[in-house]
Amino acid sequence: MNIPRRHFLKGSLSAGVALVAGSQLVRSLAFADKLVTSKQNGTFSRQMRYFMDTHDRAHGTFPSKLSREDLEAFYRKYEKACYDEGVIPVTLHVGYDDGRAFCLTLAPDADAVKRAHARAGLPFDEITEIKTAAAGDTFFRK
Amino acid sequence: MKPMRFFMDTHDKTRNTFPQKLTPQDFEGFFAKYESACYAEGVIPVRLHVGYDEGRAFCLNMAPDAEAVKRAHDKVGLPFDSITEVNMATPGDTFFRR
Repeated sequence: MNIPRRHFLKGSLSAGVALVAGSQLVRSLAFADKLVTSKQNGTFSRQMRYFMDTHDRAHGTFPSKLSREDLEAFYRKYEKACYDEGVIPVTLHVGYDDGRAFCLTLAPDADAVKRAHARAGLPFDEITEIKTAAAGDTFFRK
Repeated sequence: MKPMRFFMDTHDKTRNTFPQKLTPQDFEGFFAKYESACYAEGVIPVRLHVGYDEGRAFCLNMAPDAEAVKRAHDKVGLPFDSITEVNMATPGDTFFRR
């Protein structure tokens, strides 16, 4: 899977960075072939955006009991469901004691995140499109 | 330095824990204040995740305990909904049997 050069020239810098990061992730993933063949010309057909979805035991959207071992088993299903819907599961943040989870994904839209959850049989509270900021970010006037 | 743990705290406009209106420009001004408050309380602001349209935020911090995260919020007068200690999982993790 090679990203055409014109993407680097045409797109904004941030889009380019996202494409490169996304392509490196995709290359390293077990289901990369399936994802790539489902996308136009071996590239993402649309710019990917970041989403955070939430789960809470108090709302019935997080298992009543979840161990780290349970998550390892579940994760395989979740990861495959994401790739099948063109979603990159960037980072799960799991609060085992409090029964909450915050899942950071890259996806073309919120609906793809919703479909990945449906595929894995996983209910959720909300999906929020987000932008991130950290102390070390280059494009940040503090 | 005490061992650090990871915490995610949440904010939501509908619960008045996120400003009624926040632009990325407003946020750049606020971040400097928030960052200093964190350092003053021994908290590392790892990454903020801000939903400008929906009016929600999810802040990932490293801190010795949840109390330190709470004190950092109090210092800048920032209310929050919940603080959850979290562990992460990504497709690239070494110690992850999938």
